[in-house]
Amino acid sequence: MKKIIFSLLLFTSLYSDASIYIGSSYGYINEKFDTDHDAQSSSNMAKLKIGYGDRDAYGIEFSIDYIDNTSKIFSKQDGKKYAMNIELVKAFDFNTFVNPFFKVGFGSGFLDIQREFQTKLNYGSFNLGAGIFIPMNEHFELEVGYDYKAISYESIDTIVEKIRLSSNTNTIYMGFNVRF
Amino acid sequence: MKTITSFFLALTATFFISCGENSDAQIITDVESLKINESNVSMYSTDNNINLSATVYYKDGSNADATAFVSWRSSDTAIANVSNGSVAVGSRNGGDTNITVSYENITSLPTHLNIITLNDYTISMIDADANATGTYQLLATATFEDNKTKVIEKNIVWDVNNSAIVSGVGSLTTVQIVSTGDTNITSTLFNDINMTKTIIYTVN
Repeated sequence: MKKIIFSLLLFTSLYSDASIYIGSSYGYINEKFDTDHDAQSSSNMAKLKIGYGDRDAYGIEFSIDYIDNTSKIFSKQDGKKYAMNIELVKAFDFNTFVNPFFKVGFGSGFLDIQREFQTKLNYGSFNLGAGIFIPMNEHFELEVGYDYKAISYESIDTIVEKIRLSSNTNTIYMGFNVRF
Repeated sequence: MKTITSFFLALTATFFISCGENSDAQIITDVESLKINESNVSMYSTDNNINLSATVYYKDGSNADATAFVSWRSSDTAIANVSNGSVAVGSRNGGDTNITVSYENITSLPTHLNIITLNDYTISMIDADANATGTYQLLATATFEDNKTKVIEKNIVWDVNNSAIVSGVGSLTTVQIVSTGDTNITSTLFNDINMTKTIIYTVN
């Protein structure tokens, strides 16, 4: 029963002043691999997103990441990364000129690699994020935020064993959103 | 507002502190080649299985035993079959075949396997007493093209008639004589040449 009530509240809150919004952002991402495979890489990233919700309540966001990856971690030259994410956003209105938010969700992506048995590596992620919307007017806003992702990669085949890698990424970004 | 600003300053500082040099070495080395450790191998056409092994070599210079992880193939299965590195002679009396291992798109260089041809053989019963029933071991001994003599372990089929029961295979084949009279004990080698020998055993 509690779940039904919570879902109804969430849905009505989402629906109340909700609108579709689109946005883009640009940031810097740092990825650190697990302790068994000590490695890290940093890259620029861009994100396109479309969402539905309110800038001071709930929203749901679908986004596509492009990461200008140049790492040499999985192969002699790893390719660019592409990912899709879906996240639930909760924003707040503290009667200041910014609206803080946090978000939680998950995603999946892939990158091209140059290995004997694999030319593509898929991954999944658990996403957390926080940031602020800076409204400029009713329709336009800036966004500054931080994203954390716990990533789990598809296993890598070395014949005698299949190795699974995991990593953590930290991203800071700035973006621009348009609400309709 | 101060709280929010402080939070993001702390977050940004944490982020840049956590950033460092990009790693420029692969953390999981890639496969370079596969190799069968034995180069030229020979065995007799009636031998039991022998074992081969395979190694995977990596681009960082390391290697690992890949015997159980690769697919083994014989170019002529009538001469020899191979599975998980275990080579079994085929149904043909001698010949040459190549053994390779592969994994997806990587294949090793072939290892040449020579199966030495059997020229002739004899059969006998160990410690047989012509006047008694009982259990006796059958023995087949082959002479090969290199003039070496060996007990036949495989590719032999035994058959008996009348008052005898045969059981077991290869060098452990036994025959049980259960009553008086004549018994033919016949052995046949290889399907393709049907080399046959018979002894007649009489219990009075």
